Amino acid sequence: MSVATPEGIDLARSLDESLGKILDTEALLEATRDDLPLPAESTATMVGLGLHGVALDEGSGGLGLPLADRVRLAAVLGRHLVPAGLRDEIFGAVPALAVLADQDGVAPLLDRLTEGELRAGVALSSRSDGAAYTLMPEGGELLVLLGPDRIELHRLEDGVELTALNGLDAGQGLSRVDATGSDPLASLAGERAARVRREYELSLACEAFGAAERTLEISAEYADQRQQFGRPISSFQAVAHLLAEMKLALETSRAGIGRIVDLDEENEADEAELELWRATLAHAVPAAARTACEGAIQVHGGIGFSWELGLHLHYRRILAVQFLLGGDSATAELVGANYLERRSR
Amino acid sequence: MTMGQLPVETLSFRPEDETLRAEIRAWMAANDPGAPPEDFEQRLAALLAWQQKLHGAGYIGLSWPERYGGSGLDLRAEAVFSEELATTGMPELINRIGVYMCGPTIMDFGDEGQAERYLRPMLDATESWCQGFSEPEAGSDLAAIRSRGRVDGDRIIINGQKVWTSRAHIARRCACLVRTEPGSERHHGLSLVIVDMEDPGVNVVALPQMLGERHFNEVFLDDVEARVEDVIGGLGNGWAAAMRMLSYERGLFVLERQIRLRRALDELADRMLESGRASERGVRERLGRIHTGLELLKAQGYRTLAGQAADDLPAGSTSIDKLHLSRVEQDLFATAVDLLGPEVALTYNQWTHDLLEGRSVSIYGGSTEIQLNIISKQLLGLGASR
Ligand SMILES: Cc1cc2nc3c(=O)[nH]c(=O)nc-3n(C[C@H](O)[C@H](O)[C@H](O)COP(=O)(O)OP(=O)(O)OC[C@H]3O[C@@H](n4cnc5c(N)ncnc54)[C@H](O)[C@@H]3O)c2cc1C
Repeated sequence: MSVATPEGIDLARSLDESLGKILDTEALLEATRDDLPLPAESTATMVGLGLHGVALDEGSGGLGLPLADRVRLAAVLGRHLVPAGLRDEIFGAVPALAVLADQDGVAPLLDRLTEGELRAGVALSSRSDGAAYTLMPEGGELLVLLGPDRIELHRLEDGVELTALNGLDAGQGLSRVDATGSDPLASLAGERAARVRREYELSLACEAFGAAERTLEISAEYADQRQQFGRPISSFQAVAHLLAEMKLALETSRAGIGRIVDLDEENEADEAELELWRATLAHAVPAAARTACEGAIQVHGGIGFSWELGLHLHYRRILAVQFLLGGDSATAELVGANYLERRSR
Repeated sequence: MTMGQLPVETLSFRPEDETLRAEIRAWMAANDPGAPPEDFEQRLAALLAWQQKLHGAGYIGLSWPERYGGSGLDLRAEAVFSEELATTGMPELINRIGVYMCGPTIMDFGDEGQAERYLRPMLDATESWCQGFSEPEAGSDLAAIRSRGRVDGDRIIINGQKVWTSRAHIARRCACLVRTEPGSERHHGLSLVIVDMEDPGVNVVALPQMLGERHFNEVFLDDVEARVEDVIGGLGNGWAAAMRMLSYERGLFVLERQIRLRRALDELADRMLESGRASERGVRERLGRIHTGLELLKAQGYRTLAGQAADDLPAGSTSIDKLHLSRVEQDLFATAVDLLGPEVALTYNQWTHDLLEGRSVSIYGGSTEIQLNIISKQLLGLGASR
């Protein structure tokens, strides 16, 4: 049951091409070194690609692409290490504003956001202690705070406190968020709000997948070319097995993403089952991506550890995704708690 | 370099599959045979009766064509059946090697005559099957097969030895890989021959496994007489047929196993809930990890079935299923015994039994190292340019 649309597939292909031209390693390295956003022109070009409508239904002026297309697009963004703030607008802020759109003053903001005239950051508040971090784009004016089952929309000028942090995935505007002193402009609690958060989390996982898959491709090619002891390093079983382990991790993740897309479309699956699945993927996919990326660095030897090759860019992004989602053990615990809770019913 | 497919298709169930599920579920609830007897011999007898009963109800070979005694449904039905079977005390078919591996291989590679002769008795378990591939000198390196089949008119005279042959002692038929072309080497000149285990030249000797159970055997073949018309895929095509059979061993087979593991995890979770330990962070985290591994195994199994249904499985892809299965199975029982503590770990019981049995998963059907070789060559294409 493949329901990826021709539009979605085309969009992913052309996006893959154009991002490859806009985002070269050198520019990314520079932004990372200086902890500054990418040059304004390239950001403007990316914003102009019209991606803000990807996760927005047609009624609200979006493309109405199904989940099957959205997971692929998120992976393409990861593949090219698109700025996290842009990803957050596409998969977090726009869908959030869409469910808030019937509240006072939100609809015009959504229009401006999808037009690229207004910028917004997204923050996931931690399930355990409420701590929240955002990757605020330059000139951002809004903050979307995603709680476990509550969305709040804030204007930064209304008293949101942002403390700039020295981000590991540098150049993304990482800040700690304190919105306790701000009155939200709009808010929503309940199932629809929870769903926005879960789909946003899934898109983060797919982004990490895309970034990691790229590192595996680079590594497999490199291993066939790099010669030591008079032969390609891929002919050493230890190297080939390391690459196979990377592949294993990514293929089981790929199956998991395929499964949730199918479940989502079946309509038969109950919401609780989908919820557990999303939590499972939020744990599994970033972990697999990390395994793959760490393997990639190892397969490259010294150059893998170098600044210039840039595998650290993928590594930084994957780590950021894993910890924005809560980290390895916390996400595993959430899956376990959810499973045990179902079991005790 | 282009990115891989995303999302991949997995198996999705339609309303008619859910109807079938409800029907099978009701039948299983009414006919659950309970746990199998402890005694190994009695257990085999019980499993035999159980498959016959399932067959009587029309549930074996749901995806097989009706002309071969099946129900003409698809692999979704098969998956539904496996899942519901798993809710019973005997979630395993005595003739799983026949039903899941040899039968499908005959349908793919064999001819109508073989299908006529052999498929029906697999379903009602009147003829159990075994897989005669491994030999003392041909384990991971299966192409080193030495057993010979001398073609003599319409007969093949077989001499040699097989080892680790699961269930050979209860099998009536063996899918036996032998070298039929004199002087041939490696993958060439092999044939997959159906051997009658009642032939006087077949000698089956028990080879107890690590738990002392009679799982596998040595099989000695002395002037065993088989027929050319019983060569699956024709003379000299044994390698391709054998590889197909192995891919089945890593396909539906794995899905079935995953369901048994799910039962074990559920049981472990229940024990944690009963003892009040389910609220411990560490317990939740560890169960969360196993749950994750099992869900991905299921997703991968569904992906494989969808690929099989569309006849579109990339070569080597089922090594992912097999490898992931062995990781999850070993983790699950190690975690279970660790969480249940010394009282369970020190004694012989289902948990410790399964902990030991789990060591076999990374060996049978191609060891972990061999699966990694397959993934690196066939899925990653390493060395293809050399
Ligand atoms: C429970 C069980 C049931 C079985 N049932 C059957 C059956 O029904 N029919 C049947 O035909 N066979 C059966 N087998 C046999 C099984 O297929 C073989 O045991 C397996 O293929 C390994 O072969 P081997 O035992 O000769 O080990 P070896 O091939 O000698 O391997 C020994 C070790 O060396 C490693 N190794 C070997 N070659 C390589 C390589 N190229 N690269 C890296 N490492 C390598 C292996 O991974 C392993 O760790 C069964 C085995 C088990 C455990």
